[in-house]
This record gives sequence, structure tokens and C-alpha cells, in this order.
Amino acid sequence: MKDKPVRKLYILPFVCLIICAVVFGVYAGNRFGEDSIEFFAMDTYCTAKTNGAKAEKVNNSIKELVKKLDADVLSRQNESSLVYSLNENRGGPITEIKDYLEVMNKVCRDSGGAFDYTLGKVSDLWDFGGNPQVPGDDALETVLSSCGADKVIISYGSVSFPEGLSLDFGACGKGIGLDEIRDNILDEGGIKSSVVSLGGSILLYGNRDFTVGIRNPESITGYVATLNLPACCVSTSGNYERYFEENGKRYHHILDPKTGYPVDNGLVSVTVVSDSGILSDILSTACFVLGLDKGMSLASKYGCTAVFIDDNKCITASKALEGKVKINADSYTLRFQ
Amino acid sequence: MKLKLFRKADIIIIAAVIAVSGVFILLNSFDDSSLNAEITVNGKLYETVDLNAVNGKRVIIPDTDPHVVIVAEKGKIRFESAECKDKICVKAGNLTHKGDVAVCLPSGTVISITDSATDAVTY
Amino acid sequence: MKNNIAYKTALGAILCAQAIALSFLEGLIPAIPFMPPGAKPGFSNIITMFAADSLGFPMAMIITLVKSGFAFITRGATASLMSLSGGVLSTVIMYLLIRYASEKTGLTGISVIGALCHNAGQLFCSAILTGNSKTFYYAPVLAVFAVLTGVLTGVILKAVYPALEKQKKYLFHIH
Repeated sequence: MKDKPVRKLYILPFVCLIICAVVFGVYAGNRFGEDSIEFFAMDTYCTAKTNGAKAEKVNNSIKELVKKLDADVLSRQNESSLVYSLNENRGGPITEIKDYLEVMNKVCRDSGGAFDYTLGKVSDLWDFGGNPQVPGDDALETVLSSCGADKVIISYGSVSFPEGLSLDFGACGKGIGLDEIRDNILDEGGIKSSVVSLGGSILLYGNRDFTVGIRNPESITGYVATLNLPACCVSTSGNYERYFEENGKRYHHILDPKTGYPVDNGLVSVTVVSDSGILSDILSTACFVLGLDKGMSLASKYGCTAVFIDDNKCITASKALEGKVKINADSYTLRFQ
Repeated sequence: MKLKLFRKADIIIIAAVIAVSGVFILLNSFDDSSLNAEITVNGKLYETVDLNAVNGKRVIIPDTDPHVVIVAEKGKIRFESAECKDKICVKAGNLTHKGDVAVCLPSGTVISITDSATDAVTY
Repeated sequence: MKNNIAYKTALGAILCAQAIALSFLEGLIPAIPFMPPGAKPGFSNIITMFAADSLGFPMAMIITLVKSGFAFITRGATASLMSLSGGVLSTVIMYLLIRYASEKTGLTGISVIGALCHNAGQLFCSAILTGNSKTFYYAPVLAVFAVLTGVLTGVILKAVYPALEKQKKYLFHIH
């Protein structure tokens, strides 16, 4: 009868089984150990996307670390934080943040004061996070005169500074967060790669290439260019991120430490790529304040690359980024310097 | 029992199913035309809106404090109004492209258009 | 003799118990994180298919209904509805195939189509319940998974068919 050829076909279900297993296995392999988390901390929106066996655990640790770092160390508002107590007591021991503070001091000096972490009182006058307003010239001048990183003395693991000056980690907190995440969580292993974003400051971790978009300044949506980068940190300072309008004039949150007013030099955003989170965060602010030419040389002095976007829709990137930047919006032009 | 374990038609059935679903899996993984907006409230997914499938105007009001009003139309989504002070989210305007994100911090609401072209967007 | 109600009730009860036991046991398999939602081996299909072939459509349908009743008690209304929609569709189709197409299709093919129908019914049900058609995105993956489990249950049924037949006769002899 027909039995013989049919019996031969007995092997086919198993062939199919194997094919299915392979197809499904490939699909599953791509999904396995993928986890993402979103949370609010440091007054901003944070995300972490991690691949690897311990992805979920790692993401939860990241969330905890950032919230704890903000509450216990960096927050100016939280009464139990280190920075709050330093500001209250005009100094104190700084063991946890000594290394970071030294980096901040160095950039302060090297940038000629373009980056300054002692402008807490000036920020209070503008109150960007609460009820923003243009402060009076007199008030601004008074407060500004008592600020300045040169008035901060660091010695033997302690810091001290005069009355009227208030430390503000707003321009470096996210970068510190990224460094802490990398050193304390990701370096422990158990993951393949991770992408952490603390309010737009990004940590890329893992042995692969990443694609990072630079936010479109005009619409606050989409990205004008993409960067192809290996593991590193990327931060951007943009005048579109926090601003308000008064009497038809637009005031943004990046303040010039010299004048106390928002920087007005034709730049829209500066993105800095660095191995160090805090450096990328600080330098993006410093470069924004310094402007294109001085900013670019400051970045290269620290071995970092940068992307400047100005209000003529011109994108200027470090030479080292040639071939790694791709424009994503027609109206923008790209050049290297 | 008249049933055999395996007959010729079975091969055709199995091959057809695998072929068709294989094509769809491939299409899905390369599908670039879909535009999905994810609305999350305090980190939890509130709703996913297929922006290509919205007919007319859809108003979404998640249960948040302060209240925000989200409006989805074909191919775009935005924060229409918010009861907070800074209104940064409303200023963000329409989200139309992959990777677009609008955040309302006071209410903890985030709209993002899901994107696979970039790993992250810096701002 | 075999039309005796007591006999049918007893046999039906045993088969229902076996189907429920199988679906309970597969519930014990730990959730695999990357599995598309709703994907299960569907081993209780072995019993439904045996019933459809050897005992006729009513018995197969009764087992399906009892199974979703059990899902209602243990896992709630939604799970029950999902089980019902998938189960009824696959049972009807499998019965029709066995009745009218068993000269062309074997156990494997019928079992695969049964698994596919089970998934299809569940997908439609979940799409209606949630009002979100995004679940259909998973359909191709579920289909591949259905081929896998369908072949598996087909092979298992082939192996246990004699035992199930024996059980049927044994019960008859006790009677």
C-alpha cells in the first residue's frame, strides 16, 4: 500500500520541529535579557535600557542609585543631602564628591570661569524650576559679587567658602550620576550593553557601536543629527531645554557666570562626547558659554569631541567626529573644525 | 484508528504556515512605516496609540495631578494643555517623528514615539 | 451498551480530568520571559483530539467547555473566555478535519491546525476584550510556535492513542 513512502516521511515532523525551534530560538534570543525602565529623578526624566542576563536587576539598581545620589548628595533642596548641608554650614567634609569637585574646579579654571558651580544664589533669583522671572540688575550684581569658584577652598578632604555663595550641581549632577552608574553598577558585569539617559545626558556602555540622536532645537522633537559612537558619555546643553519669555524676550537657563544673564552668542546647543560623564556634562555647559572657537579648543584640551549647533542651522563638529556625524534634517549644514 | 501520524498534506500545511509567518516576522522586523506613540505615567505604560490609525481627533486624559490633556490626530500627538506652571510639555508641540519625546514633569507624563533608529537622544 | 449514559458520563469525566490535569501541569512550566504572551504548549489538545476522533463531536466539545469552566474557577472570567474562544474554534475545525479530511491530513497536520485555530480564537478574543489590535503583531510568532507545539502534541497523541483506547475499553468492561 501507500505505507512505505509514508513511513519515510516520519522523519519530517522532526525536521519541522528543528526548523521551528531554530526560528523561534532566534526570535527568543533577540528578546532575551532585554529590559528598560523609566523614572523621574534629579528633577528630570530618566531611562535605562539594558541587555544581558541581569538586565532587570541592573536597571533597578540604576534607578535606586540615581534617586539616592540625588536625595543624599546632590540635591540643593533636600535637607538631608550633602550639598544642602555644605551650603548651610558654608563648607564641610566632602569625601564622597572630592574627586568630582576637583574636576569641576579644574574645568572652572581652564575655562576662565565659563563653567561655575557656585551660582546657586543666581539660579535662585531666576528660579527656572519654579516661578521664573528676570531679576533686577542690582539684586543680580549683589549676588553675583559673592559668587565664584575662586572663593571655594578645598583642602584635606574638606571644602569651605564664604557666606552668600551656594554650591549648585545642576550642570554636573547628571554627569556624576552617569559615572557612578558605570563604576558601581555596570562594571560589576552581568550585562552585555546598557544605554542610560538622565534627562538627555547619556551613558553608552558595552562592546558595540551606538547611535545617538541630537535633539532638534527648533521643535524639541526629533533629532537633527545622529552620532555613531562606541561606549562613552554624551551630554548636551541647549538653550531650548528650560526657558521662559518676558516682555517678548526669551530667557533660557544657561547663565553666563560673568554677567548672570543667559548666554546670548548665537549658539543653540553644544553636545560633548567624553569617556567621563562629569566631563561631558560640565564641558557642554562651559563650551556653550565660551562659544564655538574657544569651546572647541577647551573640549579638545580634555580629549573630548564636540558638536556645536548655532541659530543659522549650522552644525560644527570636531574633526575627530568626521564620518561619524550624519545630518537628519534637510535645512541644516554640517562642517568640521 | 484511521488517523496516520503523518500524511503528505501535513508537509504542505506546515511549510505554508512557516513560510507565511516567516515572511510576516521579517516584515515586522523591518517595518518602518508604523508610528506608535507610547504614553507613560510615572514610568508605567498608560497607553500605546497607533498614530497612523487615529481617525479625526482623539483626546486622552490620563489620571494625573496636575491634569494634562493629550490630543492624538493622524500622524501626530501633542500635549494640548496642562494645569502646571511651566507648560514645557505644551510648548513641545506636535510629536510626529520617531524618537520624538515630550515630557510633563509635574504630572509625570511622557509621550514618546517609539524608535529603533537611535539608541538614545541627547538634549 | 456504549450509549449508556453512566458509561459516557464516567468516560467524559475521566477525559475532562485528564485534559484539566494536562493544562494545569503545563501551567507549572515556569514563565519564559521572551515567550509571546498567551503562548502555551496546549497539551490538553491531546485529549480533545482523541475525543473528537474516537468519541465524536459532542464529547470533544464537552471537554472543551469543562476546561474553560475550570479556567473560570481557577483563573477568572478573562482567562475562561480566552480558553473558550480558542477551544471552541479549534475543536470545531479539528473535528471537521478528522471527519472529512483524514484521508489527506495526518495527526500532525490536524494538530497543527488545531493549535493555530486555538491561537487565532484567543487573539480575536483578546483584540475584542482590550480593543487593541496590536496583539496581532504577535500572530506570526504565535503561528510558528503553534507549528512547534502542534507537531509535538500530534506525536504525543500518536504515542498515547493506544493507551487512551484501552482506557475507553477498560471502563466499558468494568461497566
